[in-house]
Amino acid sequence: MNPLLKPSMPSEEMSEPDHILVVDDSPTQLRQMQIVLEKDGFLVQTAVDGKNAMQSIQAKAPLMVVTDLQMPEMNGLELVAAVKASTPSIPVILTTSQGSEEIAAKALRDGAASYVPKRDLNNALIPVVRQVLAVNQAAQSVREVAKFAIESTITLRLENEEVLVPKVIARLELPMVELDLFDEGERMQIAMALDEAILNAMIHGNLEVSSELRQTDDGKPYNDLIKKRKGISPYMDRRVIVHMHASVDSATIVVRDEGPGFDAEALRDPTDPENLERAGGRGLLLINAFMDEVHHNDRGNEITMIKHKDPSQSQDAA
Amino acid sequence: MESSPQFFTVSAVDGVPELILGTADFVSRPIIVLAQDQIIEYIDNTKPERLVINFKNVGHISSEFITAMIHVRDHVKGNGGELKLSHMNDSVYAPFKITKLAGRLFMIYESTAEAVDAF
Repeated sequence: MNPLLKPSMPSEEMSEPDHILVVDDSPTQLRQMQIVLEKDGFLVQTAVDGKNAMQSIQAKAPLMVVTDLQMPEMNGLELVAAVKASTPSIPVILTTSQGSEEIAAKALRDGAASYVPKRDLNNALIPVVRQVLAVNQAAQSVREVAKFAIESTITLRLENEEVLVPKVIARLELPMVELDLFDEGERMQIAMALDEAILNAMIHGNLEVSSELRQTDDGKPYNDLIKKRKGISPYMDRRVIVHMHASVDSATIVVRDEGPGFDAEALRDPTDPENLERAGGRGLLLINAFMDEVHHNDRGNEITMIKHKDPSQSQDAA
Repeated sequence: MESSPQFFTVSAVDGVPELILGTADFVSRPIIVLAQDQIIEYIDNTKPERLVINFKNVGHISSEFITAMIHVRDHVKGNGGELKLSHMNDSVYAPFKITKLAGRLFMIYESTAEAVDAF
């Protein structure tokens, strides 16, 4: 029996999710998926289109939804959007025909948890369902504990690898989400400020590559020097320290490099018409625009960025 | 040799080529560098007199991407053409506005149709 579907204890709520909702307008496909899932111990309910599926979800929330992409009434993409809007904790897996990979990619961007090619349903459906359920249950546990959080501190020591930056930002966003600190737009602004600050620390701070080089030959000398210095001491040995302290009313983020530092005051004004086409200073301008407070240390190798929660949001919550 | 993903598709609106960016985010520097090179290669090969870059699929950008767009604009101008941008969401438009490039270096329109009409 599937470990995720232990028999319900009598004391458990009747509304506890216990089934997978399968959605497809083809009775044959619907039956095929039902057989595959039931064979593995899952309880299955079915719906013939997105509209029908939403009615079923409203009547009783499922563990997850497995849906076809092309259906009458409400198609798979519209169903993903509707589920994300009404009950975002329910994961949605898509089943895709050959040639619909691009639509499936869009669905993933819009919030679908995964997809399974129809030609591979017999082999791939169960592993994907199990994986998505496990991830969703772990996320649910985190969400349940997160509501008790009042502050969070994290410190990272990074190599000068730009591909790390989006992942680092995603990690730093987690405590802000858990603390319900900012709305999505504000978190996006912080993410942009962080991106600028960490890249500045890696490239201009540790690797000592000037943004002026971006002016030349479409930035090729700039990119070449970054690549070269990543393999040369002392540049390659330097690290970026990112420290974030988030509480229920603000987030303070410090980004420090191990380079010689720079004079922020000496930077050209990037909004001066004479400097509009120059590359330097734009990142710092965005940081100042998106954060409430920005400070540099005397040496110029450390930036402190603070964002406060909008007091009206706290009052709304109270 | 490993092939790079294609960062845009090309269509046409009233005979004006429209380059539709296809990646959700342009914040990762390696992606920005690759995307810039691909767009510049397209411009240098086709030498468009008028070009619209459509941002409808782009969720977020960084200042590095703005610099990349300046290089792209240089190539369009260098080939005797004119560039306009369209379909930006608020997150993408904000850096262009804050850096005062919107309306100065870059003419930005809500839709490609408006951008094409403005040539």
